[in-house]
Amino acid sequence: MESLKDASQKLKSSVKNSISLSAGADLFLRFVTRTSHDVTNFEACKEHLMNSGKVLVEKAAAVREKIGDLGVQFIKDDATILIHSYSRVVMLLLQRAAACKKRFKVYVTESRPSCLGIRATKLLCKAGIPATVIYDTAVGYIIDKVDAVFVGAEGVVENGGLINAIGTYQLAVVAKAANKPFYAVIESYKFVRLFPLNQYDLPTHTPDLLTFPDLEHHTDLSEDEIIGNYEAINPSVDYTPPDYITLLCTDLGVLTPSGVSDELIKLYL
Amino acid sequence: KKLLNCLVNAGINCTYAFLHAVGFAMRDVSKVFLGAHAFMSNGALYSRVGTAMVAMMAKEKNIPVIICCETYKFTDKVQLDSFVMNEQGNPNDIVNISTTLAPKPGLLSEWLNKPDLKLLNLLYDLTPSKYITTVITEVGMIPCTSVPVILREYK
Repeated sequence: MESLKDASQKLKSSVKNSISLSAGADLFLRFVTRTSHDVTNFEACKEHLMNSGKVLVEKAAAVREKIGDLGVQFIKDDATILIHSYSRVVMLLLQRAAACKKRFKVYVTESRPSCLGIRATKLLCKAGIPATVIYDTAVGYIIDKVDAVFVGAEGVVENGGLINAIGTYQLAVVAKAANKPFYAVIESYKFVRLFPLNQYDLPTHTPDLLTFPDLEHHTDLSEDEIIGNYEAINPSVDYTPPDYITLLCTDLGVLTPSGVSDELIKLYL
Repeated sequence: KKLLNCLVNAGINCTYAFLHAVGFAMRDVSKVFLGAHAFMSNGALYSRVGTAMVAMMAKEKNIPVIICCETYKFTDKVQLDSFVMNEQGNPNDIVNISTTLAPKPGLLSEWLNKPDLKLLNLLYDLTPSKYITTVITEVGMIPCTSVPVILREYK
């Protein structure tokens, strides 16, 4: 058990943005500890561990199909959808909806600095779904033309809040102000045992962002040196509180944000 | 005042203020910790009068409100407001307006002689779940809407 925990720690610390990874690792550890009472000798135990690992990996892929089937009901005919960045689950959901002969259009945010939104748009256009890239800053401009917002997530925290690519919180606030539903589409293995009180409580928080350049003592610096490497100190994920999320489509069913805690308590307590 | 005593004896820097000044005090606050007398199944907190006001003020300023509560205080009951069930304290407690140990009666000292005047000293109030960020219990940190889930799991 100890070596498993150590391996899990090592894995978590090696990847920079490790929230969904830590969720999956914790779930695996839990699955193993819960089901290992009926195993007698060490060899059988090892065998059991390997099989559990394989089962989890297979299930992870199948889970997205299930979510696609559940989430299709939220896309109505002739709807305009807004999505953020690139999420495999959301892509599958949209492709499933197109296959069900629903006609809809998609706006995709550019999602700087990763610009994954552009990749998402290309894939959608290839699948025959009309899609346009909009600036992240143009979300307020476009929200009144949109019927629903769909996002994926890196992780869902204990109170039902989301951790996702930077810009999701802004999108959620704008959607709430414009009275548009905000749906999160996420696999259940991404439920993570974190409880952030605000943005700055995340393990991925970049504290350098809160410092300002010392301009009094460094008057000889050029303009570029004063700005510095702002890409390194800006965050890559943000936290969306549960009040802004309408519903979460998961493989455990369509849940409200308070339902997430229910599922986590059933699993971990 | 008992809490203040405890904290000062532990060496923590404290500022003591009246409840009327809570809006002003919130400017310098980063987290709010409150205690509980009971937790209803709709996630509402039943606690000493004044708790709801502090929680509401903090929520307005997006300051996290943390409730520390043991799970034996969770109840199956659902309460929607503070009036449905409450407890009256001694009305003579609000006659004293002194800020020191020596009692000093104010204008209300003759309240028994005035036929149209009644004093109401309510002891508890209800804080709705939307003002509470998290609840810390001995089984972990949970959102306040999960109180009935804990009750179900432990039955």
